[in-house]
Amino acid sequence: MIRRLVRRAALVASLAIGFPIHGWASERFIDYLYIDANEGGSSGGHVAVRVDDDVFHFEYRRPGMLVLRRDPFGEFRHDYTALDNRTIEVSRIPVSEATFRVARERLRRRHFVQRRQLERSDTLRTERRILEQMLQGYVDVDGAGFFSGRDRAPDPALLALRQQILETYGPTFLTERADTLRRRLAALDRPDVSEPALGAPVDEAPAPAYGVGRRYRDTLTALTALEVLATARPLRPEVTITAAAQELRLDADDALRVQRLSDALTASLVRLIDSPRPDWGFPLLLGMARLATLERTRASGQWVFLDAFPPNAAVIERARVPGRPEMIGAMLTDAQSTLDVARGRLWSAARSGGPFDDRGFADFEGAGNRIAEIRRALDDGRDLRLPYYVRLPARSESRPAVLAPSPAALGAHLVVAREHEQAYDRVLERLYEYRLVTRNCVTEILRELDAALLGERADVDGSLSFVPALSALAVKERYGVSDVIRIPSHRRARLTRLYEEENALRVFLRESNTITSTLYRQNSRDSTFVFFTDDVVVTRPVFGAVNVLTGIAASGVGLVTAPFDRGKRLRAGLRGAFFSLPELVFQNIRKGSFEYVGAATRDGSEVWH
Amino acid sequence: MRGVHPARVALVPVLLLLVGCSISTSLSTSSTSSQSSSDSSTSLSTSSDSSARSSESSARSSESSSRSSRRGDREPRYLEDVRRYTAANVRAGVPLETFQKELGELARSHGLTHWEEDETTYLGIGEGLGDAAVGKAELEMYKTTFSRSDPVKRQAIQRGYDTR
Repeated sequence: MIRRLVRRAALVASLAIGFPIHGWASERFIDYLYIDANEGGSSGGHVAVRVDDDVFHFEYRRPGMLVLRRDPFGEFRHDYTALDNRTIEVSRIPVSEATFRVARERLRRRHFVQRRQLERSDTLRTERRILEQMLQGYVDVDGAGFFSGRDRAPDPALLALRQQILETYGPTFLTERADTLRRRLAALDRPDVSEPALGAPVDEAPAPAYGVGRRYRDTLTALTALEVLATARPLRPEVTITAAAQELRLDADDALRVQRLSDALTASLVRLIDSPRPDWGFPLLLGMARLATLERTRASGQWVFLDAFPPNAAVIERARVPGRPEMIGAMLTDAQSTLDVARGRLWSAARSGGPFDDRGFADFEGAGNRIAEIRRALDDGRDLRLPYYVRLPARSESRPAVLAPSPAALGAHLVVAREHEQAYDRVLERLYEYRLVTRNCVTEILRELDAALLGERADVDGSLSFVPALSALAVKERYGVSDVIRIPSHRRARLTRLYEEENALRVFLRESNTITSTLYRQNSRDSTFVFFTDDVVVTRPVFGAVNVLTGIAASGVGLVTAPFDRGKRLRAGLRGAFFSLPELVFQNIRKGSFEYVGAATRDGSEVWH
Repeated sequence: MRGVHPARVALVPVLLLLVGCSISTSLSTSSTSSQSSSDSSTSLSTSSDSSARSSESSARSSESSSRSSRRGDREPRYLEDVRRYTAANVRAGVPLETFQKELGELARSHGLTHWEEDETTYLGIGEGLGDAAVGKAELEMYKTTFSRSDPVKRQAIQRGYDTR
């Protein structure tokens, strides 16, 4: 014990000597973030470190790994304080500019190395899957699912593109390009190029690999793109999204701009088809699909986009849509604002006469998807896909594995691919194994801070600083925290405002429970409960007892309804009872969460205590 | 060997509840930027609730979310990524075709498919070449290879190189 205290004193002394920066004099801060608990994500809380605009934090991932994430602070804050409704406590560590840079580079470097290792793991998995598909005689090709069969009338935009390509490169270009691709496919039967070594040093990024399977798929994708172009196959109706909404209607100027966009995209695709990059097939398929949507836009006077929602997007069921006017209104306002910004950027790029603005169009397409989705839900009574995670459209479809290596050769490749995949996964699992006490999100963050700020690993044996809720104390002791700031959860921030504006008793009675609350609506992610207990202490056990009983009662009902709702109500009830138990002894974990928090409300919650 | 204190044994269930860290199953941690579903749903490296994954690299795609990021926010990150990947690949002597393939995946994770027409790509390549400390002759070779004799792209690579 004495030895530990001496060691800590020495550490503090070394901090004072090595980093004699006081809060008022510091140029920079490194922020240690403690995010309080909630059910679901992390019932013990979570920690992160903010350096500049980057937030670094370690997450647990199945089957038992710790993975370092890097998120922009704005997104991190939105995810945790708004959607997850959790309060963040910020411990500010003043540092010199030099220390700040060292810490930032160290964390970025570590993130980069692990990211490439995980990519390598994914690549090996993808390689194995493609080989398995090839053995079964097909391969999934991204972008192939945008287009209909050959029996439909050709798409005029693709006909025009094909004509322009032939005029640029000559009448035999497409045939020659296809022949080259077929020769490449046939050549894949030769022995594989050597794969990089499978070791994974913790501080070294692995070299990328490009195996037979992925080469085959990229070549097949390019062949598919040429086939679509040659036959000018039209889009499938179900891959597009639009709505008869004012926001998506073209005005007179827009019609001209759409033509400019089409011209720029066409020119871009003409250059792409002659690219030496090995994976030009998917960009060409996506580009052609977008060109076809622009043609439909021009013809209909209404923006038509490729549907960019993921196939299994989270939805708000149609029955619940009319009951959530504030949330839907906030979604629409946000989507409109994003659309206006994206449209402005796109038009500005188009005016400048530069190449087609690929990323700008993706932003515009994403914003248009959100507007169309919300309008369709409101006007047509459809389920509403949550407008958070709009993707780059990539409709996949199985294609016959033509000119594939022989089954014997594929089998041999597959054996090697499986061995590589399993070996590399074992390496990574060993390297980043999660351990409850000795290697969790706290210990790894502290390890990084120690190395960056102290130049060594401090001894934390015997302390409880590995517990997220207690780690801020250790941080305060070890790194000379100058200030502590609280960023309240979304509900707490809005509650504070209500208390300022209205009668306190009325606000308490109304907002203390999920039934009459105006701030909270039951989120399908949350367990069943009645009373919020994160903003009360004295009444917590009483509220907790009611919550336990409610959870048990809901579980009883859930038992009956299980055959009809696949046990959803039962699970929510059981979780409700379980997460209410700590409330009986004055502890709180559950806070409720939100499906959507609009930008206007977010900005309004800018409360720093 | 020291005996295990009973109080610590009693603490274990409490710790199991208190120590959790974030599990990447919440909505907040799911983010990919391509809608292909041809890959694993149980990938070692991906968020377990990611509803869709890039067909090539879900670990990479977890970096970018098109949910609220706008171009202005994403461009510096793309530039940094291209720089780091370029430097690492040049140092490792990765074949050009593999390098191009990786650039394609990286760009796609940032919502960009035609990276050859994006100036930021060339700035990032130049910066990465600078970080890898390539000599003048090697720089010229990369400029010729990547720019395909386009003077604007050549200049962008040179500008990136000069910043390091």
